[in-house]
Amino acid sequence: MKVLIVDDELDVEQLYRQRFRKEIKAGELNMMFAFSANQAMEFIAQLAPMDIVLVLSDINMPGLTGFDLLKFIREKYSHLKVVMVSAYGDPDNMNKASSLGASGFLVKPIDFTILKEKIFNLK
Amino acid sequence: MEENISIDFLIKVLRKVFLFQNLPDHLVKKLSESILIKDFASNAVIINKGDEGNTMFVIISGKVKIHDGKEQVAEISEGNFFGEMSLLDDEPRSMSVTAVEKTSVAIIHRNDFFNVLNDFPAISKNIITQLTRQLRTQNTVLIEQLRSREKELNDLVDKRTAELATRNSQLTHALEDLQRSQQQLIQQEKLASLGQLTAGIAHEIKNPLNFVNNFSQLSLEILEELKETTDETEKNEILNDIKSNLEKINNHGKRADSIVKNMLNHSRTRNDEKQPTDLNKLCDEFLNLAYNGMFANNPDFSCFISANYSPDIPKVKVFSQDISRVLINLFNNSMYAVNKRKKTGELSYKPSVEVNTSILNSDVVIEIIDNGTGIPKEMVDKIFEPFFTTKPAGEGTGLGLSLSYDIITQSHNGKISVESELGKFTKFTIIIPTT
Repeated sequence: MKVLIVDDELDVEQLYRQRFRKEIKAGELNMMFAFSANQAMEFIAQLAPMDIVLVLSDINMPGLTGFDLLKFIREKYSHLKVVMVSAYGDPDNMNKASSLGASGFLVKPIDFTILKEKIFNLK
Repeated sequence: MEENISIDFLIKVLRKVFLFQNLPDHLVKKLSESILIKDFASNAVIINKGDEGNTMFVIISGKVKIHDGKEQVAEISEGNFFGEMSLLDDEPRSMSVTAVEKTSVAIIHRNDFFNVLNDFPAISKNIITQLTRQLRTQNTVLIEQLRSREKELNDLVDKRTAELATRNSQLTHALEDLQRSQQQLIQQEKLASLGQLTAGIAHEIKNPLNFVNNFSQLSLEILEELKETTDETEKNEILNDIKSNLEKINNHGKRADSIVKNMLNHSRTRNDEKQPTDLNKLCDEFLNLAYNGMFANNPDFSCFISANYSPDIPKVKVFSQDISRVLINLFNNSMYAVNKRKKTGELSYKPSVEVNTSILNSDVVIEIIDNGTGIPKEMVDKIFEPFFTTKPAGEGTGLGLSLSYDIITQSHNGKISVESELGKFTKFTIIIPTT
């Protein structure tokens, strides 16, 4: 299964790849990374969207935000699940995410045990 | 001559007058025959200063004052005479004379007087003696008046000096109060801008801290895997990962450290000396803080940031905390402006903030351009004035730009200017000399 991770922090890639090293190695998980909402939109549009099952997106990014991406996905790729990730776990952000149609909200630092469960429950 | 006054009475009167004391009888008689007697009521004017005069007056009864307007020179009574000066020198009257009480005077005409003088020249000694006496008296009076004036003046000067001293000390106190208030306001402005930063700072610190935690925990876990595995390739892979993770931990630790340092610098009163500073780096750090701060306070906020930093900029000696305050202020303002314009719901509006640095004639030029709401023409000239703000009450102190102006122009000998078009853009240009 394919997961798209969107975050403007480049080191996120190394973190996720190591965290899910075994799963990736075993071919259970395919991770893609985009470092801005724009880049994520391009990926989704270019690659077979059906292939991606989950988008994990940061909210606070320069340019378009995670909320913009969420709106874009909800409009055009309604089957795609989006989980928002943010350092700000305030009710405003959480409410906004759920009202825009996010399937979940994770507060940084991410608890990877929970994330793993979320991903593999999608199967 | 008046009917009811006899020649004998007049002779008696004239005899009493010092001037005519030793005049022979026949001359006194002759003079008395030509004399005119006149009565004046109390306060009646006998002589007006400036009038032509060819007569002198002998006081038969009553009292007169000799004065110049309100200034009294002398008061004389029965047996004394006045008006002799004009009679002698043919000049206009130099003083006015007014009856103090009901007064009767004998008026002697110039011709009659000179006739007596011709007939009896010894009388001139009397004239001189009498004039001398009068002058002496007047002199004394004048000197006394002068002394009293001088004292009055001195008292007045002392009083005014004391008043001025009081006033001065009041003003000094007021100035001290003002300076204290100004310091407090500056401190408040610093805290206010720090407050704006806090959310950004929290975010900025939390990110590297998360990485430190994640990478260190991850390393511990893969160390366990390293112990368990026997595969050489996997061992190498894990070791490389651990090495790379440690580098990440180190980098993110430094990143957090530098943010905390900046924050401390920002709130601390400034160093006494300017330090060589990388202005590009300073711009970038505070642009990030401003962005994250804005985002933390407005979850809806988004904006395209484009930063073009010239690699040619040398380190410049500046008060970096002060410059960073200016930068954060301008960044906050520009992001506030684009966010405000975005909220108007304008279709196809792309909020953007651009930061450029360049070097021009050995000056560093920093441009901050936003495509926000812009500033109305009539306000552009006022935005550097203290307490001028367009933000709603409670959102701005009105001191940000005024302090920024002082920091750039006074502490750094530079320039700060603004260009704007309402509804289109605002561009701030800061020029800092490198020398």
